[in-house]
Amino acid sequence: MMKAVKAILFVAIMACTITAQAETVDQAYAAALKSYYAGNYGEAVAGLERVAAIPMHHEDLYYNLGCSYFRLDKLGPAIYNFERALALAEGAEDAEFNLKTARAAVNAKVKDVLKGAEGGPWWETLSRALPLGGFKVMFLLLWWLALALFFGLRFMAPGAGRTGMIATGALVWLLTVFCGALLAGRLYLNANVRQGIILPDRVVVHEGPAPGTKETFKVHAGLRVSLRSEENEWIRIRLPNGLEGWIQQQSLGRL
Amino acid sequence: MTRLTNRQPPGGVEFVRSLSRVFAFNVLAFAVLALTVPGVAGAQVASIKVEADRHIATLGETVAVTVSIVVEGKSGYDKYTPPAFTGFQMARGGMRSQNIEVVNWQVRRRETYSYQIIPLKLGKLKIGPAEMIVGGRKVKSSTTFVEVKKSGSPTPNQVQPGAGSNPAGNTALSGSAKEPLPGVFILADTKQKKVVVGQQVVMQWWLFTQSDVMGFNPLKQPTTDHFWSQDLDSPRRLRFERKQIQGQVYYAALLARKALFPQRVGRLVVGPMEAQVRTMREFGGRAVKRSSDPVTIDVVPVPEARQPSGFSSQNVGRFMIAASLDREKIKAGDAVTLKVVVRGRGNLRQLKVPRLMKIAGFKVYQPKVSEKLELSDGVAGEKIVEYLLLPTRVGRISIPSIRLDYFDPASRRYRKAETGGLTLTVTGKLPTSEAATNAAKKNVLGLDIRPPRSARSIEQRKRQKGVDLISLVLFILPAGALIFLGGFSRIRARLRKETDRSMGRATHRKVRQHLSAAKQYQQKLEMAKFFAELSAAISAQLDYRMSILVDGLTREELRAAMLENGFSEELAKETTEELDSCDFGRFAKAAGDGQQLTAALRRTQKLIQSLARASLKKGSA
Repeated sequence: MMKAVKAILFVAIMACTITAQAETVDQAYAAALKSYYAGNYGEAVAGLERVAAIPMHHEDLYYNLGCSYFRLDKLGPAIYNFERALALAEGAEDAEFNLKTARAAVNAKVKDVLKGAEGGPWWETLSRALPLGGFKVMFLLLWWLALALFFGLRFMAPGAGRTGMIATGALVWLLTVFCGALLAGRLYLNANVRQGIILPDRVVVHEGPAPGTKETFKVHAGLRVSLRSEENEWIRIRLPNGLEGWIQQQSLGRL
Repeated sequence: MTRLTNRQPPGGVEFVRSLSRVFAFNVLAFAVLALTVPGVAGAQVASIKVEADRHIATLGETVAVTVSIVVEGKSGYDKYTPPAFTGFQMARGGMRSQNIEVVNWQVRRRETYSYQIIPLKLGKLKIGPAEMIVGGRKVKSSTTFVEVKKSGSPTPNQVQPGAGSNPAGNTALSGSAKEPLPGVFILADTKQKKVVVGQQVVMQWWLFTQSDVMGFNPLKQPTTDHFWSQDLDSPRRLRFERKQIQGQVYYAALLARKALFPQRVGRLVVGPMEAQVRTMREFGGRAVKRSSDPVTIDVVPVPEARQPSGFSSQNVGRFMIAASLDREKIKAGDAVTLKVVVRGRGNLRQLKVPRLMKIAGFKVYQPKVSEKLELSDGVAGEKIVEYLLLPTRVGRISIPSIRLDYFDPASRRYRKAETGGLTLTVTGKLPTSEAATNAAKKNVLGLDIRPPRSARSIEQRKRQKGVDLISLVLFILPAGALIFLGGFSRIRARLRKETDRSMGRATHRKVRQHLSAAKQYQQKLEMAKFFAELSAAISAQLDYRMSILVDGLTREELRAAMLENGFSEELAKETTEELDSCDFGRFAKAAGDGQQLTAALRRTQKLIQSLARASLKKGSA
């Protein structure tokens, strides 16, 4: 009997806690948005960051954080949060627009011209050309079409129609295999390649994981880099052109 | 206008010819365009701007003029013509500085020419335009005006009494003058203890010391409640200079200098500044706490007598006003900019410049207000109000003078500053009102983001990194369906195909059916049918074993066939006899008893077993 009472009490307390937390999150989120509309972008950022620190992951939260940072002219964090919003909701038109705008604003200030960046692996460039969802839909459509053509061959009498169908089928199969390979590549990149966005306006990249080591090059806000390894507060980054170096972790937003 | 005619689709050769014609035309057109329009061949962005450091000056006052040139592109500019300084004397001119930067493979040259000129006559003097030739075309700056007033007019650079004067200097300290001075102290200094509302009070805080300062840590900044405050100087490093106070030598460093504008009447107190100071004089370099004395300032209202109507209490100081149009003659439909400049010393940020709400013959748009402050011994500089005016009629249109009323605390009098009247000539014919509005208000939409999403609640989301279940099902489903259909067809085909085993099973089933039927007829004593079933059972077995239909064969032919297939002579004989016996039973219609039928059935069963087990020659069934 006592056990049952204790169990009921525990469930009741947990339910109350969860409800209270949900209300608090929504209230904090609404208050931050209100600050944004009032033009208090600093307060909006503080409020939204508090919600994000719960931790809470939502495309709207990141999108609005990006907008707030943009208004404060902090373009690195703005780009980082638009990227995070797109990671949760791929192809979101407004996030893509704002990301493009923020990148254009960064380019108006300064642009990292990466020599030899175009020499990177072509499959990686192609695999990132479309969102994951886009690749999936394209592959599935081609897959269904290829199988339908294969199935349809059983019912085709020999002749020009059948020959045409065989040729079309071969082409569709090739496309399916190609698209499938790109999809596999994208899945591999998602699972194994960690990336980040440079947050401050300018970051000096060091040769080693310590402040006293040689400064090799500089990168600017919004640049997307691959993360290679970590050591204490430092992280080794790789640029699309293969250049590598160490920066402090706080200068980077992980995607 | 292109005439449309029916055309036959071009053949192979004709099509190639058409393509080559189109290509050649395009190449030719581009070449012509590139040669005739310099902008296409080598686009260069160039700009030239003339700026004066002040728009209002007095006779003999030096005006600094800067010409800024920006040229983007590999080649620079060819010929530079400096602005014409008519009515000015050149004090120093043509100082050139150059800066070249490369951004994204684009060369950008920035050059500045600096001139210092002194006005020689009163009135509105024109500067410029400056010119240069870039890529064969002339690039010209706009003109600038400087309003020159009499040297007797109150100029902003004249320091008001007491404002920003050297602190303490060699003078005695107010208040604590007769008390012995400590080795280290902070002094709050101002000469203006009685001012009117809105009058500028320059206050300075100094650190005085007689020994070396090892450390300085500010603890509390002075409070300036009921003052509008503007920082003039707050040095990051202490710079000491030698001073003598009450016969004692001190080293003094400026800590802060502020311009304070009282916002209300009464005895207003500027709070003390507190700091921790470590000197060599204290034992072991111990830090001592020092604070300045609070300063009380008597603030009185501006006199009511002779106060102009609509006077703003913030317009206290010394000011001059000038107005100019960026062009004196325009075409109908064009807009013109009226620039009203107030130069002076006082609270320029809060200064109320009379607003032009309506001017006959013009549509007046909201002005753009900017300030150019000079913060040294107080707040001085310029407040610039720029109006966009769109003429609503053609001809000569007058702009009335603009009057600024202010209170001059030095002379304790109200003064007025006034611009002269301006005239604009508008030529041509006015466009429709809509077109005119569009021409004046170009809605340039710049780079901006879309607004935030205003969903009221958010919930936890997970990033999708791999393949979701639906996609997996959609991938497997059609392949599975095809495999299933293929497998099903193969099984069905296999089932349809007759093999030796299947035929054996079918024969066995058939024989059993015949024998079973025979048993039923045996019970009913239907002889003909009984023997017919026995005969059919034997025939079925023979059909299967020899893969021929035995029903159409004579007994001799059957015997020969059996021997040929490898049956023994004895078994062939027994078979033919049994078949004969069956035929006899069927057609003779002789009466028989149950025992005979049972014996016949057993014999047949035994015969069928023998036929089934008999080993036959290779190649037969």
